Amino acid sequence: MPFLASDRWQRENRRDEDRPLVFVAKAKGVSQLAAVDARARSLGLQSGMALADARARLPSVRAIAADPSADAAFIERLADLAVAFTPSVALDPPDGLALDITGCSHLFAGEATLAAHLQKVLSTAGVSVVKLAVAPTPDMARALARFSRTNPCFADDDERVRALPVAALECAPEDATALKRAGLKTVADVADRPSLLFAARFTSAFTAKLGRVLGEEDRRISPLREPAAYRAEQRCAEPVASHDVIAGMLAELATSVCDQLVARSVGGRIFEGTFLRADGAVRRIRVETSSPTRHPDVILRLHRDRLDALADPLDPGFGFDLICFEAMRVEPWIESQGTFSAQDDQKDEIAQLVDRLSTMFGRERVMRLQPIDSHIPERAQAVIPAVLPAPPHEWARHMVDSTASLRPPLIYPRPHPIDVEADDNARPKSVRWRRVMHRIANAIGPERIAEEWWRSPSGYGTRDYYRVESSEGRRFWIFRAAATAGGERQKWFLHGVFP
Amino acid sequence: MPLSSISAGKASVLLREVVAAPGHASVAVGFGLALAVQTISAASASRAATLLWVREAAAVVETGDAYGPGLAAFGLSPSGCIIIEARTSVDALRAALEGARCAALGAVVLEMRAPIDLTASRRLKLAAEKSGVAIVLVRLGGHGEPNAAQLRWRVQAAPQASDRMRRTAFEMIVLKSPSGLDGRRSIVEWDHDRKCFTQALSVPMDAVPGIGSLAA
Repeated sequence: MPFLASDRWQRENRRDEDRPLVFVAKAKGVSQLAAVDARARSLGLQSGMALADARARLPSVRAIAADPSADAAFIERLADLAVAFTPSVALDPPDGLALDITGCSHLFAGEATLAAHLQKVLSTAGVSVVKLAVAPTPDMARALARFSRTNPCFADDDERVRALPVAALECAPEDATALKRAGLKTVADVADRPSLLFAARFTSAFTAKLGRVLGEEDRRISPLREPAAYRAEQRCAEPVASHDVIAGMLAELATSVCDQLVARSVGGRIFEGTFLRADGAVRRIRVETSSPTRHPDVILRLHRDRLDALADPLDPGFGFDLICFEAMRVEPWIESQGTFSAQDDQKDEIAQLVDRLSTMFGRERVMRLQPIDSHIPERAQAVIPAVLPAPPHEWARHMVDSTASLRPPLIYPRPHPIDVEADDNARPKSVRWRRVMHRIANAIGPERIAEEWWRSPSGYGTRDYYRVESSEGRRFWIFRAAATAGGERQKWFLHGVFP
Repeated sequence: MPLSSISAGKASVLLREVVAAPGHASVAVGFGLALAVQTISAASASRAATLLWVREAAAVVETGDAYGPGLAAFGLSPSGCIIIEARTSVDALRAALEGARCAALGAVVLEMRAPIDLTASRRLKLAAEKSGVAIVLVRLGGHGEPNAAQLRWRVQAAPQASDRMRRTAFEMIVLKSPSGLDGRRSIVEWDHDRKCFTQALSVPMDAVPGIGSLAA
């Protein structure tokens, strides 16, 4: 897609600019052209030129600041669309997409129709010029798409690629100049000579690239999203917009994925539904379960809960073209014999409840507490999402022998600064918290807690904790920060409240 | 002197509400958790059932984060506790309703700052009656606006007699009860070891409505 940046700009600004467009970025202190549009290209401008040179040649040119992140977002959207053709889609920087269509082309009655379809989809999405090439290896396709004059270009062997100029090898500019000076103009000129020569003159990376472009060496693309091993998709002849039909299709797909899971004796933890709308919008809905699942009913129920919880519901618009359902993460399924114990049933039921709640409110809002071996109070526990499998742990230590170092059931994540009046022995006499004065009738402490020197400091130094009770029966857990430091002005904090 | 739980005597009381006296939000939360723990341990002495603790985000700001070591010392096993921090009061009600429908749960505690109206509480009550899960509503403030709760107390802290602040004392006033003991004031202590409330002062225990009648 040679004019990606201008296509993106036209699409965003929705107007036709009659002047040639160039996209400018600073490089080495000079404003350089990062990209040009078709008109500017035909008038002789190229990316890499200095803006001043371009202006000198074409005073009418319109310069726009390049926006690489917007371009990247645009191309990722296009990559989403390409998922309709193959699950394995990769970005081919800076302005291309690589699709692994191995085993996919027969679904479209051949490569030519597939290419035509892709061309149509991309031009609907706003790409003005698409250069397509189909070749046995990704590097050969890349060279053909960028440097071949035929479009779309189909290559079964290296014949076409050999006719390309040496620039198709995409070596460094000085290497390209060196090749030209040696009289080597096409890829064939280079390929026909022993590669040892080039390895000695240039580097072995050059010969490796040559081998890949010629298709002698294959390198697989690394797809944006790893295609799931367990997936089912339904392509619609006509876009479907009816909710009932969509739900029915989804149920079928989920059943099919679950059958695949059963066949491999695994269960899924994360499931994702992908919805491709006729106008090119892509929507992904993901649900997660706390234990491996392969019951379509459970998954579909979670899916419905997720949809209900979304602020923007799944809008079919003019209908969905393609619905795809995948198990993104699977775990071995441990076949368990149904027991008669009610306890196992309850465990399952609670796991399902946790799944539902996590889907409705987000996994980080449904939590479990986990003990951590630390004597700094706020570090003694971890809050983990309840959908994660709970590692075995022991709270028992806190249940016995806690009279000496009693902790409140609720603590403030950031201790509240309070005003404390203390007597000569530094025991608190009165506490002012949230603008209310509490006279202390009873104080138990101090319980001294030192910093853990092997970890980063907590910010409060050595603390002296007191459990204090006011004359009305309010019970607080307060501490004096930097207790060993001394000094006139002591800093006190309220860390928690006992019920 | 242990007091038997509600579910032992009156199985029908599944929706109870605790209203915090002004400034005693954490106390009300503690009392609500204690009620839930008592219900769970009385219903199934042999095993630990799960407690679902739904907290509105505004309530978390007021009372602080749940703290495992402290909960363990209070008699509530943190590993048997699922905590939800709901963004809004509507989310909190939805989560509590979802929990009330799950019969495998031991109890649901719903901690809210916003009032719980008649419709929402009635929905909770119906779900609880179907599944048999006890629900404790904890309101951090307000006056106990009318809703479907069968029992309602206002709770505040009471000075502890002794025991180096180990046992927690609560002062409670009945705001609503089926037996018409409204306005009665009593003080109970929470026994975290035996997971039940005990009498703190020389008040005849039958007179503490909702907590239960005197048991041997």
